[in-house]
Amino acid sequence: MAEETRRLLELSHICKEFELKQGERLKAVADVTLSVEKGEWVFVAGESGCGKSTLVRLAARTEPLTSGKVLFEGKDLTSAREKELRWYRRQAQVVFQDPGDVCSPRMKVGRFLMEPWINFEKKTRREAKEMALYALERVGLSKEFFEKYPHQLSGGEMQRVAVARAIALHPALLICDEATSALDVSVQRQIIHLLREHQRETGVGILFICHDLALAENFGDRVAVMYLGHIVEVMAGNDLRKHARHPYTRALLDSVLSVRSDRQKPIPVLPGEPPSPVNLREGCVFRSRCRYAEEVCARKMPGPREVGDGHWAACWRAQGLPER
Amino acid sequence: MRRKWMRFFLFLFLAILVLSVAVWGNRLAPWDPLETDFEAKLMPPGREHWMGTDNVGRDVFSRILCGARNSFALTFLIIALVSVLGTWIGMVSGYFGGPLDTVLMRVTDILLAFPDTVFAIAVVGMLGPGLKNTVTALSFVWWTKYARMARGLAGVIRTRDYIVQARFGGAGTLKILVCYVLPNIVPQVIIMAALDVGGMMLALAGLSFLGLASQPPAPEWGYMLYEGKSYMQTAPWIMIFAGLAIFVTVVVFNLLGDSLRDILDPKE
Repeated sequence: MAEETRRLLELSHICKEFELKQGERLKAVADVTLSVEKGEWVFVAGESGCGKSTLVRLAARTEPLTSGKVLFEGKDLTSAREKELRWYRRQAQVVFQDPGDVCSPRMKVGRFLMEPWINFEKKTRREAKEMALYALERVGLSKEFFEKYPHQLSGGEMQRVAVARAIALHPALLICDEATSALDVSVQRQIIHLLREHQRETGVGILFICHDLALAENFGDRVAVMYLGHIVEVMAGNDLRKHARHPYTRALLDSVLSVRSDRQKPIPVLPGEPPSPVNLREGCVFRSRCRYAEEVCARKMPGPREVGDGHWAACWRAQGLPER
Repeated sequence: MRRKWMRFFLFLFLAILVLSVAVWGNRLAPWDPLETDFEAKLMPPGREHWMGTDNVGRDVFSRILCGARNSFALTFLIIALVSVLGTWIGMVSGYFGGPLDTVLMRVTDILLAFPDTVFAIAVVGMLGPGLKNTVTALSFVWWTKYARMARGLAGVIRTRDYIVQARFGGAGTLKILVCYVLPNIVPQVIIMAALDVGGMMLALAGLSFLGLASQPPAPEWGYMLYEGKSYMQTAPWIMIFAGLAIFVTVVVFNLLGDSLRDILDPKE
């Protein structure tokens, strides 16, 4: 049971469908099973529109699921009431993509940082203020920011404030939705650095959604690759480049541009666009763009199969593909 | 940027001027606004009566000064009432959505389908003339405007990230409404209210003009128009000055509302 207790967040076969007009159904998240363990940094990578953000909202329990289960520290939150959700929100924190929308435009940054202390911990205003000032200091922002409004801060500063608040109460889990995507590269580094430092200190589990495979490769204990609502491959981050099995993961890796790329070589491009997620046909979701697609791929969507140690791929041909 | 503020302070100054007339009007008035003097009835504007006298010899200038208080008190009372009420109803409706929202919005649709003043006249007509009924009637037709706006804004705000963040900051629903949604609606409400002062004053004057709002002999601008109507040809000054008072006030508050919008505009 030791393994059980390490498990923090568990998403089990979660689905989210949106009903569009006239019986059209959009499957944003389809049968996703994923877990985050204590102290683990899990990345979910994929193109925009693949359902990453919906996955975040489901994991954060801000949106109802169509089916499946969300467990946190073994407790089922699927049909949790407000009281349990409140407990969950005390343990889990979110950081979103858009730093301009983190804080109400009419609320000062200081007040924003004080909120959790006042609401969750029932601190007095003075204590909360102390905590807020400490939080600012911790992310390298001066005291002056306490009295500022969000629009007076740059995106990077605001995102640091967002992270400062998210980690202030030492949550067990951090859910980040493209938390660095809207930022300059140098600021991205700061944020990632902050998160990693905090993880080292407290052992927080991080579920990090992004589309940057290079980031996932460098920092992810595990990386899940998502395509059209499905998780097509899960594997250890540092194995990514060498051992990726799924054709989609490989295509994504090929499109990561390196600083040292050879200008003479052609840049491999994944052909086509992802098909519309409305009323998907039978078969593997990736087959329309997959160069290894066979007849079997048109019949049924492959389930995740273990292809290595802690390495799962949802591909009929995963075993037969050539090594990279 | 500076011009915007200059404009705002100019109109604010004018508005305060008009308001101070309303507050200290009875002290400034050279005559008793209720005192009749049949010797001096229908006197044209002159040295003694700056704006002339009406059909029973009351000083028009004094009546306008004193009438300001009545007109303003009623206007502000109704606007305060409908903006607070309408904003809350609209905000709750927009934030929660669902069947409650549908019902409320159909009700506002029905109320908005009638022209404000006509509907108010109908309501006052049913309840009977008098100040209390006028306030009731105008509030009844006016709140929908605020409710619609607040509902629209709340509907957008509730989908924003910062509301989710607020939940993760431990805020309950009431706190979210009061501390996160409301502050982002209030500036728009203030602008709307400032722009509404003129309209409300006109509506009140309209009702008074029809003899439905304030009752004689209390001075009130709209009612003065009504009284002066019969002497429009022989003693036009009664109507002209009362009308001018309404006109100036409406213009000042409309421009104030406009410049307020320029300042509070979140796009800045």
